[in-house]
Amino acid sequence: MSKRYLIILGLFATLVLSAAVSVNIVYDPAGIYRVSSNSSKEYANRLIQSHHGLFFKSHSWNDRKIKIELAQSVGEVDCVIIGSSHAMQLSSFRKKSSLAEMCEKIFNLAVSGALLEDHIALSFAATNSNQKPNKIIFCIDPWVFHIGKGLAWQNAYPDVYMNALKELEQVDTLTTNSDKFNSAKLSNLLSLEYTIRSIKKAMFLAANGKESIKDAPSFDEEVGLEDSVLLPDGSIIYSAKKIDNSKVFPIPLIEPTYLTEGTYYDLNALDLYRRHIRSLINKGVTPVFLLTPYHPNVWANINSKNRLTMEVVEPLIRKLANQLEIDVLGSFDPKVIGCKPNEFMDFQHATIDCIIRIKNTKL
Amino acid sequence: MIGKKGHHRIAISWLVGASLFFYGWWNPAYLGLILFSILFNYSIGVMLVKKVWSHEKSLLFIGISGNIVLLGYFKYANFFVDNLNLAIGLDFNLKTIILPLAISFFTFQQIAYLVDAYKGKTREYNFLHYCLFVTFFPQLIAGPIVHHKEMMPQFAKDWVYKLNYDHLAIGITIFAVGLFKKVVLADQFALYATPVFNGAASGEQSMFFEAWFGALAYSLQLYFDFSGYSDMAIGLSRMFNIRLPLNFNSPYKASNIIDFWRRWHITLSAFLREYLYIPLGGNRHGKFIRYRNIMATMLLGGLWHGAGWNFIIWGGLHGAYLVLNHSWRTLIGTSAVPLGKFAHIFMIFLTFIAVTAAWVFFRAENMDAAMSILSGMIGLNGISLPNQFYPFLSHMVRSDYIIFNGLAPLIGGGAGKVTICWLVGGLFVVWILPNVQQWLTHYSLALDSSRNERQISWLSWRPTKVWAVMAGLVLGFALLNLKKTSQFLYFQF
Repeated sequence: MSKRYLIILGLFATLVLSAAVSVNIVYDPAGIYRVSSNSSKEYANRLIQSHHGLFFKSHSWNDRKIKIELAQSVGEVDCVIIGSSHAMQLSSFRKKSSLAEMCEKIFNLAVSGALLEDHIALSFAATNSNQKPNKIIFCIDPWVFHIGKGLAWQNAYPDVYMNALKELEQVDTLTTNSDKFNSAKLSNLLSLEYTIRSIKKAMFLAANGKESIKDAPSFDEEVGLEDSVLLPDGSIIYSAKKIDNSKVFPIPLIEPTYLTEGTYYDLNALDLYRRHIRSLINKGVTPVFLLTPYHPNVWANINSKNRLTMEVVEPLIRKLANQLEIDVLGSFDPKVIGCKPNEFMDFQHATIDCIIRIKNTKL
Repeated sequence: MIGKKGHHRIAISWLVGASLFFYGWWNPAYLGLILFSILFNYSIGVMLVKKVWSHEKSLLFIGISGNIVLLGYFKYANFFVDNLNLAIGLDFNLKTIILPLAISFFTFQQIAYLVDAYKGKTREYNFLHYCLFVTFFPQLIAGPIVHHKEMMPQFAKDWVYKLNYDHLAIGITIFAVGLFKKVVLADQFALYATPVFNGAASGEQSMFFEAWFGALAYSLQLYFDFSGYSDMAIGLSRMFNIRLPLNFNSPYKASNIIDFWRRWHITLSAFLREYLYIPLGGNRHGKFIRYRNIMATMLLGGLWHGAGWNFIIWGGLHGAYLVLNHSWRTLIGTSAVPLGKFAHIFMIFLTFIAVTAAWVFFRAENMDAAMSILSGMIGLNGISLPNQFYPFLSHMVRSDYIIFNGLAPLIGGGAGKVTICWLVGGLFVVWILPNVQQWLTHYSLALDSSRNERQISWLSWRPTKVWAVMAGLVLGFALLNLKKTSQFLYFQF
């Protein structure tokens, strides 16, 4: 009796785990295990040619795969933006254009949670295309000066990063963490969080059928549409729900630590970043550093790890910029830019009304 | 497999080795400490049993002192020096001492062993069995605190070392439930408790609802964390055909604080009663001495949980609760009318609130943080209401006492409804649902299984297909949650 009980128990436990693994592989919302049936290249091409942009669902498209395609077809632009979601709204296409005094035409290559590896790979791709941009504006986040802080880039452009390192003559001194990535890929198969995302994607597909690349209609940028939209310059306009929620829900007084766990910065990473910027300058590109503000609640929270990191990293960024003789725009501190507490979507994402003020805060 | 072939010594050695490996995985540096502690206590214990020295009391004193010095150095030295510096204005610096894992548990367990040896209650002194008694991995890290006399007879039995499918089925079922409680329930409640306590630590004034949300969420987090750990310890142990004593028996169903301490961390309560409260005189020398002994026992019980004033205050608060409870019993005497159903429910609720208020000190980073949350719970820091109420109530409110910044700004916008659902669900589980002992009532889950209050026949577990499917699903779901799991709270004690 007990033997049979144990067999059934083991079978059902295995069944739950197998079901999670299967749904994660089949629906794979972040495109980690399978190549998306919709080509990122096709999406990038359609995006550039679109009139009002394309719908962008984060569980359907991998933003890194799209942005690397965009990077390879930068074309004639003044400024390329590289950074995290903090910089995704910077645009010359939308009515409230950003950095207008500096950039007539912007191309936005920002990706969510961008790390040092993303900065290097995307700028390498953008400057090795036929036409180089005049300026690359790097949105430097508090967590950027680390190597191997995350592995999302491994899934999208490991070869581009390797080639960039070769150019910087760093390939012998740095590993690409591929073993770490493979083990993270395996453990992610048994992650409930990823399974929930997979199930959501499955439900969406069941209700709406196979996803296609959909053009966005003409719309009010202040209101948004039912889903986020990537504009033809690569910048984002968030969904109407997200824009609304940011107006209704208060910003928590205590925010979660986001990518600022552990040490404030890594000297090897800082050195690599310095080499990377020098290499761009040598190519004739003008790098500019950009800092986007965090909500005043983060600055009021004396124990916030995000705040402590910003307090250490901002002077470091300014020192690095001085050494390299490049400009720094903005600040992590909203007071410096003049952003109000109600001009944030959450503790770390400013609204476009705050972001467009950055143009006047060159220090 | 080794045990099946009759190689018991090899089987025990293997289990001891595996347990030490498990302990050393955390920090191999402290393996030497636990091995030294085992050798020291075993030697003293054997000398006491064999009466090799006529001054047995002195030997016992040396043994207990050795343990207390070890615990005192690793756990309390920094606390003592910091307070001494503060009191007499010194600036004496002691290097930060890292607390070895489980030191409080294996020290108390061995003190009990020495006292039992002194009283002649220990018979067997096989060294390998003794090593397993101290290091047995299911209970090494966070209890239960086991007695020599409870474990040694089990280690001596032949059948313990043979695979038993019945025990394996029971063990894995209890383990699955424990894992579920920890990774699904306790870690979810941590999401609601942590921001409130962290906020209070950084000087934020907790408002009414969020203070209650934080305190209740922590009560439930600690409940499911410790209950889950206790189930896992019993389940793992049962897979090896060993029964552990019961350590957790629906404590939030207690209708008074005396009852609470018979249900929460049962083996620690028993240890404190047997080896501290009774030697201090117990209730044998009048009311005043009895209450003094209760207070001393609970203050030291609080200190056992951690080197900090918050733990001492938590212990003192429970001591005061117990004194009040005993005084009340003395006052009403035995002639009191038995409680009606509603009065009983009220008493459970009152006990729970008293315990929750005390947990605030237990969890808070410092006294200011604890006071901020308690002030919030009694409404001194104002009330924050959902933004949606603003159009209806704003004209009625003329002060800063009521603001419209969401129900629980520290937890985050929109978290109110979800938090309430989780809290209500958690309270339903702890107050209404039967516990694991009641669920497995036919299979004498722990060493002392006479504590079961009621049996629910339709819900009783049997090794049937239906229960196998349910347990398999629970185990699978719990394993899926492992990726985001935090440490057990009782690991730090």
